[in-house]
Amino acid sequence: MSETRAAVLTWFALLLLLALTAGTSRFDLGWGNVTINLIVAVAKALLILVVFMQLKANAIVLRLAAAAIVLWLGIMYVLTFADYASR
Amino acid sequence: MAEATESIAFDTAERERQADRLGMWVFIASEALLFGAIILAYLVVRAHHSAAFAAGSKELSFPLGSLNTAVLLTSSLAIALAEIRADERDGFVTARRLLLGCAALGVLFLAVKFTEYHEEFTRGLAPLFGLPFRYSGPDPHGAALFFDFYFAMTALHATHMIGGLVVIAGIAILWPRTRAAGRRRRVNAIALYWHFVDVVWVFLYPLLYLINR
Repeated sequence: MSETRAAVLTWFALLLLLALTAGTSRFDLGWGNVTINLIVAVAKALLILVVFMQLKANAIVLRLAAAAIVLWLGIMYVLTFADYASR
Repeated sequence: MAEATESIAFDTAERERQADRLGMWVFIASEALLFGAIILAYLVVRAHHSAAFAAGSKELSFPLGSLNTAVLLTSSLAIALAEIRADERDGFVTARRLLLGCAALGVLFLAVKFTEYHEEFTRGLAPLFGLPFRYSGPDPHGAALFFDFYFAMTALHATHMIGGLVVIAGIAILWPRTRAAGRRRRVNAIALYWHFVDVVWVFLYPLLYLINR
């Protein structure tokens, strides 16, 4: 039953994060909005990846596959933004 | 764990499941690059038209977008619970119900999404199929780009949801004829995919609906 508990608590945390990001978006916080939205999105994604997609419980090869996504996307993003930022 | 494997290629059921999961993760990696690329293009265009993107974002329905986020997060909980139940000795009946519950929430998400599309099309905010783009705010060209991205990203996401729903329907229909190991493997595979589609929406929601600047 502890797995069920973890899943329900994760879902609750996800809804709280949604309320935080949706609530703060109603106020003009300048760059604060962008920062909060980004942090909340990453936190939600990590909760889903670690608990729902069971990255914590599984073999290291799956974590490597997930890390590979971050690596390749990171290269694409860094090179693209470096290009646009240096024009 | 003397559970039977489906394929003779594996010694234990656990090894078979790890192989399944790795296969799904490789597939998810390719999907992540697809969505990652379109989000990158969006960010570059948004950097050039930030005011128009903010104005365009305010035309979207904040309540419906937020509701849909909650619906999708809940569907992820349903399919996560389906996975847990499928692992239990007598959990298959509940697991199948949870799977169908997840699908029902997915259908609800799509219904809300298409309600939004309908409203945007009737208000002339869809610069698609040669339709007239009736937008009175500043920088209509930039706003048209925002709506192009909005429709491309959400439609690509919705297409993935429809694909997931078709697979869930197939699993549910074949359920009575599937052995225990097969049921678990299928639920595991579709759950990973469904959670990934949820993660994509977690990023699309603030990018499209929550621009304040």
